[in-house]
Amino acid sequence: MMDTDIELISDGDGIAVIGDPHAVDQFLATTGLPSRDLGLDRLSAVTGATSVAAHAGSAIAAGSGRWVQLTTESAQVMKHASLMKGPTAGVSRAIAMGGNKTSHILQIVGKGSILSNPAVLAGAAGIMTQIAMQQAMDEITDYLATIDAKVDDILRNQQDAVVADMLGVHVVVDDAMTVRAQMGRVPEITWSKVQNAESTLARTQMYALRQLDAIAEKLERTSKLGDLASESKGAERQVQEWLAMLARCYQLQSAVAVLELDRVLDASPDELDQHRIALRITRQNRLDLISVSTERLLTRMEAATRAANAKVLLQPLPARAVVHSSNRVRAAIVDFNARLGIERDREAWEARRWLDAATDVRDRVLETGADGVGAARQLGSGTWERTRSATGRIAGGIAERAVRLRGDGTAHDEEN
Amino acid sequence: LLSPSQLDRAAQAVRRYFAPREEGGFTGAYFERLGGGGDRPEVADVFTAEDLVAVSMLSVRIEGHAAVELLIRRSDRLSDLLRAVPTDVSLSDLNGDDLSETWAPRAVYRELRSVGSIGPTTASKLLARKRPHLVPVYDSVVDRELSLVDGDLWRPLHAWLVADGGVNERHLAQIRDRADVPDISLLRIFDVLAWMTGSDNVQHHASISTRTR
Repeated sequence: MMDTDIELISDGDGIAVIGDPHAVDQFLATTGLPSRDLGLDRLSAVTGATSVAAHAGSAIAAGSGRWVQLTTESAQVMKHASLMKGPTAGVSRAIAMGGNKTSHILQIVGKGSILSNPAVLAGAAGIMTQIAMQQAMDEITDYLATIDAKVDDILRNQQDAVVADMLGVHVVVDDAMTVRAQMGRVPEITWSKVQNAESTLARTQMYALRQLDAIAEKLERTSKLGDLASESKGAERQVQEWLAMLARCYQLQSAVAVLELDRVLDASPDELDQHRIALRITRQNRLDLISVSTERLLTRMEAATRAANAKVLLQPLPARAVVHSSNRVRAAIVDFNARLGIERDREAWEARRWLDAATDVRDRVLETGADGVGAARQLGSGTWERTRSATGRIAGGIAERAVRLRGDGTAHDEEN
Repeated sequence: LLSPSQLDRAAQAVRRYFAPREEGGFTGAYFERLGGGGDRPEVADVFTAEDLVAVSMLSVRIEGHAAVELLIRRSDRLSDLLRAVPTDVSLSDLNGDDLSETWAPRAVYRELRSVGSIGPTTASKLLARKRPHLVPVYDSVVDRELSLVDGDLWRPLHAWLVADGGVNERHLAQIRDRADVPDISLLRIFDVLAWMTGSDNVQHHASISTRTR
């Protein structure tokens, strides 16, 4: 391998770019992709078993390693890197040509590659898994920061014992991550405090998923539009809270996985690859469980929206309330799933037009009873009262004249 | 506006919409009437150039390539689909379940939408022209005014028409009678009221230049 060559490893979550620091920087500069440090110096632990591997490990550790998250964009940039299936399950490798040749055109190499050493490749793959999990943790931190709910407050307010247990785990894992950051490794004593956390986190995750299922079931059982509006409104807050709980759980589970890999790297590097594979499988299983529950809830909210729309002329206010709440819940779930990398094969959901600012103003006009139109929401069940309710929207149109965003002043109404 | 106590005001709005042009009426008054209607027996199952002119009364412009598709290239296909849609059935005659994805008008609608540049508004107006008692006009003003979800007007309007033994439909008929436009479909009466309200035309008289629907 020439000094100007770089080597790439892909494990499905990310791509490791390894080689001479200058060559790596140059390559990443041409791609424009964000990256983070791989921390290849830890490879020496895993490659210490044989002199050949140790040599290879040292050679890599002396170089530079950056990790690029595998996204649609990065995959597109790397598409010319025809990765070769390696001896380690789920890991491929390739080498980019150096020198004056473009680094986008990659050439598979054989014996000359340092990464052709299975132990080195397995070690690098283990570190990549850690980085991927740290990336996931960072994204959840961002997610929890963006949602309105103060997740820690939510968690503290929970009276359930299972949630209390998770709070305890949170403290232990945070402590262990601090030790890891300070020492660059996970000592046995630290790991001994963390290793039982997984069962607590799994129990908490299942508990939160059951809460989401219960919300879906309750909505499913509710047929009266007024009740559905009330239930949907309540679901807005509850779903956000339980999603926050799941996110925190997933974040802690990822942290435990990072600690576990570090511990294995330190204590039994020969088993690193098996641990890496097992952790990837368990992570996918967790995501599958979450996906089932969130998908069910999404389906339920969509059904509620359809039911509400069917009655939007008869009971406009509760119908609009259901759709409003449903949209919020669906948006929360879609955002949550996206953060966890759970993809959903359906058309992108669009917020209803009347959720925009102009219509919010209109809603307020209606709900505050401007110009007597608000009477529509107080009507009973009499025939004519329902008729009046149905036409409350039309009446509302008059009341809102002052606030409606007007078009171009013509009667053109085409919107193809 | 559809409240019983607003009967006179609603009728006045409809009357004004369908008034002669020189008296402040709208071009849309001719949508159903032009050429004797799009559902008259001799043309009920075929889209004609007259239909394209009729929808222009509602501010819809059919592009040249779309006209070629409707009148020539897809004429037979569209006629086959239209033949499956009865002309003597009203929306309120149906059960809610009838409006499923297999409901015959939906097939016509899908075919229309598959023509480039024909969107939901144009498709609904073309369909309403051919089956005025079965398919309502849909556009952005109506959508906004009624707070519809995903542009779905057919189901909620059907539910509203058949509620309480059809009292709302009967009230529309009263408005139509009071406005003295007996030849206009009830779905169109509903549409006119929704549109007049949504476009701020109920209380204020529009100038001639704005009366294009």
